[in-house]
Amino acid sequence: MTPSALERDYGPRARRNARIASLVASAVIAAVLAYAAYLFSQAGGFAANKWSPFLSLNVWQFLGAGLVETFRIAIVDAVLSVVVGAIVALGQVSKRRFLRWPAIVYSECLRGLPTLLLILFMYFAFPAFGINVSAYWAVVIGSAAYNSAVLSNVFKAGILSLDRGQVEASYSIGLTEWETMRLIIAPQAFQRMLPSVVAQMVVLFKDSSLGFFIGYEELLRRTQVVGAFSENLIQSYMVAGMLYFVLCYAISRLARMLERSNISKGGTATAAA
Amino acid sequence: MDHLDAIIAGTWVTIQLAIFSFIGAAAFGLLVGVCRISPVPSLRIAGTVYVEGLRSMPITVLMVFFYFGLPDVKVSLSAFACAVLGLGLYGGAYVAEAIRSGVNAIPAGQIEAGRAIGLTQGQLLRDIVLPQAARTVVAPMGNVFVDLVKNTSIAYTISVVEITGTATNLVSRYAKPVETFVAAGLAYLILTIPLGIYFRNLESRKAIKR
Repeated sequence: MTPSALERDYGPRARRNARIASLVASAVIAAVLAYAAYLFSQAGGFAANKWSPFLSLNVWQFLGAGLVETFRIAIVDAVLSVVVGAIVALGQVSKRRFLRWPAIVYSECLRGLPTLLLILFMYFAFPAFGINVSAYWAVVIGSAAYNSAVLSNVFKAGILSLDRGQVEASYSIGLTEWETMRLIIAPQAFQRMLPSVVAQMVVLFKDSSLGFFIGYEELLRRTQVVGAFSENLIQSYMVAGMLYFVLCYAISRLARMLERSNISKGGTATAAA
Repeated sequence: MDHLDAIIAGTWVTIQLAIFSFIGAAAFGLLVGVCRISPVPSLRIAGTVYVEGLRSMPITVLMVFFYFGLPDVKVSLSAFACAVLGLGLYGGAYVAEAIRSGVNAIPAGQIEAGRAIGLTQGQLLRDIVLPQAARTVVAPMGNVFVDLVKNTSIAYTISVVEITGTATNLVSRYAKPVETFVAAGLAYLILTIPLGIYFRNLESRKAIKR
């Protein structure tokens, strides 16, 4: 992260003041954290029997199996979302109205719905149509429905960000509309939007935890089981939170690396939010 | 639809959750955002840790932590309070990030010019930077609000009866999943689509074209 103009070019006095303020702020933050830790330990939060389950191999095997499920959800979900998102994006920029409108409605409606509701719909409402959806596929499809709609908008923005002259040039050398999209536009749009796509993967990864709601045994559900069994719910949630943090943070670092390499290749910065 | 009143009551809870947590997120996010762009290194680090930490956490984990976890250390909050707290802290990270990117979009020359005429950091922020950043962050703040409306559905896990909670209750009582979930979905769309359009219009009027 490059410092903004606000954070640099200080004079000697401002630098000294900033250093003093920094020490004071560190002291205040440390005091607040220490007080929170004190309250936590007063309430027995650091008691050995609350943390000892996480020294046992069995517990980690159990959680590890949950983590595998989390990845199984996230990977299939990611592939589905990117593929469907790309198709819907093509629909959104199509010249043909019968392709464009369904794609726009798909993207606008699904982006406006909570992922959880889509998952619950898959799980509880589809059996009414005589289609039984397993908890796994309910999470994957529900989450992919939402994330594909978001990604379709990312891809659309990528396509529209390219210079119109490229399309005109490829038509003038005799490429068809489809060839132009496939050979000229799509590869560049994908490259340009890759950081945003990877950033969306963080959301998608976090969505795997929604399996919790329909009893699918992914990481969070298994954490809950461990916490209820060992009577250390709060400690278990802390461990789960750390695991999610490490994994999601790794993905967002990747997004930022891609963004930086995009910029150094002379591309434009895209908001990897 | 015989249970429209139940869905409307749930929608009202969803609206309350969204508004309270958005106020919290905006206030807290502004604080963290200003920390992240401050010249004070320790505040900047604390802000960064907060933003990265919260953005890398499923909101479900936060809510169950507050609701099921905190009673273990003898802190009991109502389900609604836990939901607002979770959503507010979570949204705050996104608000902080929006503010930082809004501030970074301001050309460095303006900040240098402000310094050259002798403005202090506080004056610089108040008179030059934040008023312009406020116009740039309209769109991302709108996204945060719409996302908060959608994320209120997670509060159903800690037994807040908002739209999704109402819908699952109705489904388990009357076994009409399709109609009920479609109605719940429409309730969300009635909230999110106009909000999205409103913020898009606001953005096109307020945003500074560069």
